[in-house]
Amino acid sequence: MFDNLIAGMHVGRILPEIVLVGVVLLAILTDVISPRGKSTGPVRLVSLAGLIGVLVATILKKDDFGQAFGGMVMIDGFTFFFRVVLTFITFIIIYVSEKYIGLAKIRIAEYYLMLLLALFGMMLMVMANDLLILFLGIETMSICLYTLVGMSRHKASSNEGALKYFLLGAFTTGFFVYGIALIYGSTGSTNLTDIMVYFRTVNTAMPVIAWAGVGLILIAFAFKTSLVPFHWWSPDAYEGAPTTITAFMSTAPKAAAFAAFIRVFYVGFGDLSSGLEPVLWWIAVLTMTVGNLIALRQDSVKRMLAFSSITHAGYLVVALLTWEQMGASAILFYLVVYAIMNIGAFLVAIAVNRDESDEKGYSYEDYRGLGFRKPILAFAMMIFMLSLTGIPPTAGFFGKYYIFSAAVKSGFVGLAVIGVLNSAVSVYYYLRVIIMMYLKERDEEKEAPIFWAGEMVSIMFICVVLVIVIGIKPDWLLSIAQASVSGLM
Amino acid sequence: MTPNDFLPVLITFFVVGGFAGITLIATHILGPKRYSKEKHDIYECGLDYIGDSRKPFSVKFYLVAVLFVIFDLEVVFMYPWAVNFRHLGLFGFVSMGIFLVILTVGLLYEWKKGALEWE
Repeated sequence: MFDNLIAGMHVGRILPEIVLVGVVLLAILTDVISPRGKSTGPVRLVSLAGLIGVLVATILKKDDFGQAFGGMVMIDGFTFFFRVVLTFITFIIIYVSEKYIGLAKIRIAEYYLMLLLALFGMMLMVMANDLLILFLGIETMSICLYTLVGMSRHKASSNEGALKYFLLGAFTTGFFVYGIALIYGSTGSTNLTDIMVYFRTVNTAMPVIAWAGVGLILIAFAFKTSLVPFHWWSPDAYEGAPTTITAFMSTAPKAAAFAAFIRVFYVGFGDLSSGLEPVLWWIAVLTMTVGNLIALRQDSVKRMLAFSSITHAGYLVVALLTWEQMGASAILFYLVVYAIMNIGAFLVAIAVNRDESDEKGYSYEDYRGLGFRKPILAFAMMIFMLSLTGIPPTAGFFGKYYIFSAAVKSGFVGLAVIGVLNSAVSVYYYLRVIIMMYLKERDEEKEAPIFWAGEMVSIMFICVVLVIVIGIKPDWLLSIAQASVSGLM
Repeated sequence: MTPNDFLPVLITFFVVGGFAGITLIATHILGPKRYSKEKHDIYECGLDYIGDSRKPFSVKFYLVAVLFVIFDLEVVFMYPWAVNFRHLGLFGFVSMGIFLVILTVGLLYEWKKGALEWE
């Protein structure tokens, strides 16, 4: 009697996730059988090999698209795109971490295990076609992130960030679940396709509880993507977390949250776009502006990057607001570009930072005269800063260009103008790093040694190359992004 | 569905709230009041209490509690599975096998990390 059920499940379509779970179990066993205190090396190798296996499985299944598990998950070009991106980011973070976690005194295998499990949660998020699966994915990811943020147990800032993130995150979970309950109460389903059908038919007389549900889910997403006014956790969590984790959190979970955001609001709530427009308009304006204004006043590069990551989320909301394929593909393009330049910038920050055990650290002062001291490292940082600002010929320029042109074409001229003005403001704090590096005199007495690790240097190099290559020739990435969102609407 | 469909839920809400409220008020008004030292003790059955309850205690208790919850839930899933074993056939067997493998790896991990050692 279960034959039909099994045939309808299409278990093969989630092969990458099955492989990933196998990798997690293998990594745990590796940790268990390795001698105490020496397990991080083997666990890291198992994780890296396993992630390559996940990539291979993803590519093997790249033509087997469709729903699986009775419509609970949707495997399409969009899922494929994010599976590859998220696996790559996790691979890079695990690859560069080994020497850093020794420096940060968190040399425990759980660091890698949590990253792998967070990746599993994110994979669930990007393929969820049902609010409950999405909820599972968000929780799996978040619980891993709470522990990763608090990994530096001996640091007060790490504990503070983790506790804040955990308490607010748990509270937001309540909002999300209540939103799902209200949506279910009014539409009779948690499936995004069914929800879309319902909203299409009763568009004129939407019950209030359905709107309340949509609003609560919007709040939950705003929290996960750190949009103003739900952003207060992110600077503290980003500052307290080990810096490799900050690089991870500002790229992969943000990409996964935006992917789920796009799917829920384009597929499930697609017909409510006119009603949601003013809300998202204000969220976009506030997120861009507030993130920028606070970033101006930071003395720590790590904190500056945290606040600027809020601003970048604001740009992404501008593109989301267009409610068109053009906007969605601009988001995908931007997420990839942002991941490349942000990971690069955080790696330079790790290399330059004076003292990892310092509670604050990551001061602008550490960059004084770096252009004369370590010209190549300073050049890499300059490229990342220019790209984050959005100056051609770097990848960041095209990321912003596609977003704002999508906004203008959809009639959001005012929003595009505010966005460009905000980009101009951000020049101040990004260029401050470059000024420190090239226009300030060296102060040799205060200089701290640079933290070098071979794997970090190689990733930095690849990031610089990619930023420049995409900056000169962005079409291929854009066409991949466009192909990925084409099946969505 | 319309909001009217939730009328039963609303009625239940008021019935539950009303019952709790009325019971509290009624016992407060109607119940006899005889105060004594025993009446004000924490354990009204007569046991003498020792010390304050707001004492820090070892995190190991939490570990045991968490472990208990995991394996308690395992049994919650296994019992209906075992009852319907014939009915579920190979599909059920494989599903439960995967579930148990994952839990067993977790158990090995706890064991090795010393969560089961008391001192």
